[in-house]
This record gives sequence, structure tokens and C-alpha cells, in this order.
Amino acid sequence: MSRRYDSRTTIFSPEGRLYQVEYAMEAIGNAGSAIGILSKDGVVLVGEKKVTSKLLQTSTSTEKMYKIDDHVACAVAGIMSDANILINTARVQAQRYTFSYQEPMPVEQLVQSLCDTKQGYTQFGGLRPFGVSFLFAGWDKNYGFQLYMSDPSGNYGGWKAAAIGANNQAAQSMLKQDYKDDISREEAVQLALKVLSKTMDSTSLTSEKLELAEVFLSSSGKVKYQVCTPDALSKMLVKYGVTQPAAEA
Amino acid sequence: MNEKRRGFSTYVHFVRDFSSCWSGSCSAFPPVIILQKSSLGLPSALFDEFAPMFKRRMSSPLQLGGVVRAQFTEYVQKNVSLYQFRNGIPLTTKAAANFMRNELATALRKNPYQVNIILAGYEKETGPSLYFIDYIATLHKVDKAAFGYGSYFALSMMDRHYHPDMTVEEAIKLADQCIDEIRSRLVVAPQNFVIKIVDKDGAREHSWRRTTKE
Repeated sequence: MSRRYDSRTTIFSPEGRLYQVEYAMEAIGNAGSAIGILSKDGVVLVGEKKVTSKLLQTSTSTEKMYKIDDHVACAVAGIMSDANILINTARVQAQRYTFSYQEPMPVEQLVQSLCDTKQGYTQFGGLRPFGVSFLFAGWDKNYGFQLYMSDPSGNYGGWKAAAIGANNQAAQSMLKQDYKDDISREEAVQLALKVLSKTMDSTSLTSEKLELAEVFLSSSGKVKYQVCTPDALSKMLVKYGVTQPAAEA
Repeated sequence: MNEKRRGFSTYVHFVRDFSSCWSGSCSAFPPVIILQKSSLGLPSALFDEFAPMFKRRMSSPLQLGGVVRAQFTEYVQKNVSLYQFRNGIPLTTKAAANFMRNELATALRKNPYQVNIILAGYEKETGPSLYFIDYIATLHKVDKAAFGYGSYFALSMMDRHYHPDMTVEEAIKLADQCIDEIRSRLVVAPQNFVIKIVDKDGAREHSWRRTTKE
């Protein structure tokens, strides 16, 4: 019987739910998690890398973090092939805006344009929704540093700290407890790593299982997107005491 | 320099009588003078029949037939308003200028607008700015600008007397010099001029230089 309301994205169930959208969110609940934290001098994104095989060669240093434009980056949880499509449209949107106005696209507009695309697939028939949640980190001149979270339904919201992917509820509640306003970027990194170390399934955090990216203003006042190198990340993990020094490896 | 005077813009515009502008049959470009007081302030010009694009911005479009000009500026005005409505933040002067240029460039190979534009705006972050856009979609950020037949006189005048740290009073005086020059040397000089100012308090009319009675 449930088939009657499952099979198409465009149909409400009698309880007023859209099952396909909910299933998409479910799919994301199994994906590697990502955490984003807004600080007063930057935005921090931390992601969990799922190491599938030692034999797998990855072409890029990051598999969850993507630079959208000079001033915006995102972290992904969900189906990567779906995410690639959305990331591409986001990059195109950002460049279109720059072409029209010769100015970087305000972060919220970028998020909104992407969520409009996502929403379209929950309403116009025959297709499944995108199985992707995003964390967007960016800076613009109107609102400074911003962090947004979006889900497959096309909903989005601005957050001080947010988590997507596996165990996101546990991570979210930890963040809620430990987040303080006026947190510095360094503290934000520390908090993100701490939360991730507790919510991740694996026992010890290593730099192979993690990626860390930051959006902040450089000393010259330009927006900078920086991905942390594995070496620096390893040192950081030891420094913040979320992993044992190399001994156990 | 008096700090209070910084960040002012004044601008002058020749206005032929309005009815003829609207009729779309102006035989000559009504000349426009635009003076900028530098990065600190600027004078520019505006056809009076148009409301300011929004509070802090003004454009002074000019073209052969009034109808097309009205269409284009109205189109831009409405789009700028729409942007603000949708996004809750205003378009900057720079973004508005680039938007206009883009529209002109797109139309250029289809059905070109015969419009030249001088756009003056003020933002808290960047201060006053002045942009010159012509009908073939050239965009320049400038300190002083003019177009139309009178521009030859006005530009020479401004080249000679303009300097970057002018006060508003000096800028208005220079505008008057330009107006005098055009009145005495241009055969088809318009009868009336209006000077407008854009600054932190918005865009507004400053004064008129009339030779006709209202």
C-alpha cells in the first residue's frame, strides 16, 4: 500500500508527507558527516572522509569540501554524484552574478538559487530529489561571515554551528551545548574536531579520515578559502588532544 | 578641507523643455555636464522627468528620442528595485552600472538602445562614485563626465579647472562655468539647467539655472 505514495516525489501522503524527500534525508543520515562553525573571524568546515579502500586513488585532496567562488565554499553530505551537479550549478550561478554585476554574489543569494533547484525536484514530477545536504561557508560585504545548511527539500537556514550527515543530531546537540558567541576561528576548529571525534564511528581521529577547510579574511582583507594539509591536521589533532600521538598507528 | 563637505556630489544637467523630450524628437543631444568632485564627491546630471533610481542613486540618461530613454531607465529602475525587494540588500552603484552596461551590450547586436548614461551614486563604504556608460556599452568609472554637443566645451572646462579635492561649492562653481561656456558658445544650447547632488543624504535637486520663466 505504501507504494501509492512512495513512488513519486510530487505526491503528498494522506498524512501530508513527501516520502521521497524524507527518504533522501534518510540517505544523508548514513553519509559521512560534516560540521560547520561560524566564528567571529571566519567559518570553519570539518568533514569526515569515508575511507572506502586503501587502493582507491583520489584525484583531489578534498572529497567533501568544494570551493564555489572566491568567497564561498561548501561541505557536502549525501550522494556525491548528485552533489557534483549542484556544485556545478552553484559555480555557474556565482559566475553569472559576477558577470552581471562585477561583484561577488551575496552568499545567501547563492544558497537560495541552489535551494530553488533542489526544491524544483520535489515538486515537478517524475524525478527524485537530490540526495544532498550542504553546509555553505562564505563571506560577503553585507553580512560578513555566514554559515548556511540546506537539505534535500530545498529548505535552508543560517546557523552559528551546524552538522549534517551521520549522527548529525548528536553533533548538533553537542554544538548547542559548547558553542559560545564570539568564538575565535581557532576555538571553532578545536570545537569542530572535538565534536567530530565524539560523533564519528571510528575510535581515533586521524588526518586521513578528516578534512578541514576555513574561510576567513587574509591580512590584506581579501576572502581566503584554505584547506588544511594532512600534516598540519595531524599536528592539530595531537595539540587539541582529540587523538593519541602517532604511537597507536 | 572641511570634513563635513567631503562626500558630496553635485551635478548639472541641461534640460530642454520637457515636452519636447517626451515627444521623442529632440534634434540634437541635449548636452549634459557632469562634474565630479573626486573620490570625495561628485556632481553629475539628471533629466528631471525621472525620479532618482533609488534614494542614493541617480542616472542621467540621454538619447535622441525620449521614449527609448524613458523605457531603458525605467527598466533599470524597476530591476534595481526588484533586486532590493528580492534580496533585502540594495545594489551598489558599481553593480547597477555594470548591470546597465550588460543590458546595453546585450541589446547592442539586436535592437540597440540609443542611450548614454551618467550614473552617480553614494555608498557608505565606497563613498561617492560616478560612472559613464555610452550607447555602445562602454563603461568607465570617472571623476568627471559630459556628453552631447555641449560636452566638448564642458569637458575642456573641466579638464582645465577640475581637481580631485574640490569642495562641493567649488564643484558647483565649475558647473556654472561650464553652463556659461555652453550658453555662450553652443548654437543649440538648451535654455534651462538643473544641478543635482548625490551624497550620504541621498539624491536631490540642488538648484536651477534658468533663462525662461516657469
